[in-house]
Amino acid sequence: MLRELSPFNRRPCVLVWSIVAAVMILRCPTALSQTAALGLMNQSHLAYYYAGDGGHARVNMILSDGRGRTQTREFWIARRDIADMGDQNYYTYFLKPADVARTALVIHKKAQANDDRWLYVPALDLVKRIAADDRRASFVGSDFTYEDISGRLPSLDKHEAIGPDSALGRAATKVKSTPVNPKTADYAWRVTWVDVDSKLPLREEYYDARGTLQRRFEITKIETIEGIPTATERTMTNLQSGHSTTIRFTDVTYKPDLKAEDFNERLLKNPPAAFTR
Amino acid sequence: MRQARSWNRLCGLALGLTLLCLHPTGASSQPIFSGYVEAVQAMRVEQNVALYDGTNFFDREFPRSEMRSQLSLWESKDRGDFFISLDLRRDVRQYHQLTSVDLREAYIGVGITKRLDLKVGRQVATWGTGDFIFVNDLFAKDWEAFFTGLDDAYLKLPQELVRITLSEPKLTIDAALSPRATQDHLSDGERISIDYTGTGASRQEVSIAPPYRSPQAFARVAGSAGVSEWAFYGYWGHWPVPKGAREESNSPYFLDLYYPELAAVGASVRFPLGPYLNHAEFAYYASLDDPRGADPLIANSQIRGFVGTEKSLGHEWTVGAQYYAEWMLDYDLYRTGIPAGFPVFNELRSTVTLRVEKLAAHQNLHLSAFGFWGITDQDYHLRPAISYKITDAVGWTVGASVVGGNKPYTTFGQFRHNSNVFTRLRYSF
Repeated sequence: MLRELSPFNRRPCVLVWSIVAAVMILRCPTALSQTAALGLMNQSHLAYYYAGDGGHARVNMILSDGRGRTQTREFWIARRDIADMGDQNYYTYFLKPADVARTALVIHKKAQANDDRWLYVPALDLVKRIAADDRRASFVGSDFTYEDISGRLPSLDKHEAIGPDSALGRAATKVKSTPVNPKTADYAWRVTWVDVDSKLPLREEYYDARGTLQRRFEITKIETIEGIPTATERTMTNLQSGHSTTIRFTDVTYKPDLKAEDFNERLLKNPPAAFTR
Repeated sequence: MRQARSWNRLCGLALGLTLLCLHPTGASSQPIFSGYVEAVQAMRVEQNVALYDGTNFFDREFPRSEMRSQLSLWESKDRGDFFISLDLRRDVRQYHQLTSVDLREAYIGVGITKRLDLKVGRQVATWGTGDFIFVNDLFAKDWEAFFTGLDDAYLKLPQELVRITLSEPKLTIDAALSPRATQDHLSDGERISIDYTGTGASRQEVSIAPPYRSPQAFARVAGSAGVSEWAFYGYWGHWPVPKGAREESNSPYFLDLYYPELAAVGASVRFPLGPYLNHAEFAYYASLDDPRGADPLIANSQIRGFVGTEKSLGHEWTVGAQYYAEWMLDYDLYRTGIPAGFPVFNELRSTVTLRVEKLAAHQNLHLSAFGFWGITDQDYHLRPAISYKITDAVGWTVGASVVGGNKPYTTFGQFRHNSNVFTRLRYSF
């Protein structure tokens, strides 16, 4: 008892606690900003990929090789969320180019597993399931990957707020995101300009391990549709090749006609009447 | 055969015109007109004496040399749709038909309820899990198109069907009935040669009697369990290829072939496992004209099946492989009864396939290679192709169809000496 109260025994204790306190004081701002940054990226992910419970839009996609050659894709895209930040079902119905008209794609996006994808080829009446472990593959040849279209979970990256800035004439918070497992991403880190108001990712820059800017994503038009701020014009530019892809959304609605269980073989073969007008 | 085909075409056209007149009116979309114009040229890389009919060589150099155009019209409504598609073809080299108009498809689709669909008319139908291997898909196919450089879509022949589909969230029931059978198109013996009998008899020396007035019935029940898909299939009709021979005493032909009756049941599964997308399928073929296998000139009952897998390797590379086997039942009877001069097949015959695909240049460049290797029969068929989209509308394809085998009567061996290289230039609108 006496020995426990002796100052000789107390001294190491005080020392340890002082060190712990010092470390905490030093670490706290970072720890706090990381949590806040993850929270912000989660909000941004919800605003961009999970707006409403789903909906549909007509999409015009222009691929430009930077040397004057352009290609066009036109399709309808429909989405239905199963859970926020969780699984989602997607449906794409192609209108152009002519050789893929009436082709359809159904994706069951899994937040925690590989997606399931099915393609319908009308000339053969063929429903083909596609091997889909590669979310980084290009979506229909564009500069957008499947992951860019359907989202990458914020929890797969470490986030750090690196200060206020602006983009598209709007106040934004800059967040640096580094993949927890480098093998899961094509970039070493990326910087996102998150809109302070709408939480939409106004701009994103993807860097490789050498610090070279590889790709840049930009929202160029935001419209409020059914009360929801919506990025109706977006561009992804590959700064290495000069190739870029611009997507324009029209006929956007967040009132989904399709239920989660409708994203099946019948939908692949029978497009909703609204998409064929 | 030729007459039969024109009859087919006439019937189809008549049906198409009827549908066109009958098609329901009311609030609907703008009709969508689309199609393409295409030049196809296939050139032999080996001489083929089998295309000599005693007087003439058929066009030895070019198994296919034609301009073709497809014109399609599609109109969709709230409760259904209407589709018509015509193939106009002009042979640039000789063949018996210089210009032809084929009705590719003409059907009306009606959504009877939200879950029940009816599709009536001339249409293409496909099911099953195989990659260029068909076990439960007994819908008609055009192997001549497959071997002479046409787009893969032409492997499927349209047929007149009444098709009813019931779609529940996790279950699909599909039934199709054809009032008259459509068989596979193998060869007229002009574009490519075929040894139907395995005896060396040319196409001109055999007669083939198709069962035109016979109906065909197809059925499928398919569903999903988690990420896996399963299906059961049924078929009743005739063999899709002439698997039977009759002895006709006063026939001028060396052999009179026909399509014996066939019933088939089978099942398939498709499921992902890690990065692999796997499939397996089997079917029992009951050869109804020779149920005990007593007649060696009619195909015996069989069990057919395959397993396969596919994997995406990243960077737009995809590979796939399949193992296929065909097991002849009542083999002993077949073996003892087979007449001299006729080929003898093995009891178990297996084939492997391999597919390698690569997309590049924003998916404008598509490289693909598909190969069949008959392990038992020692035959093969290779299909390398390169496609490039010059613009959204113009696509160019160069490829080859290499086919051969040690024996002249096996699946691919019967098509040997027909290897060719081909090119297609297509403008789509």
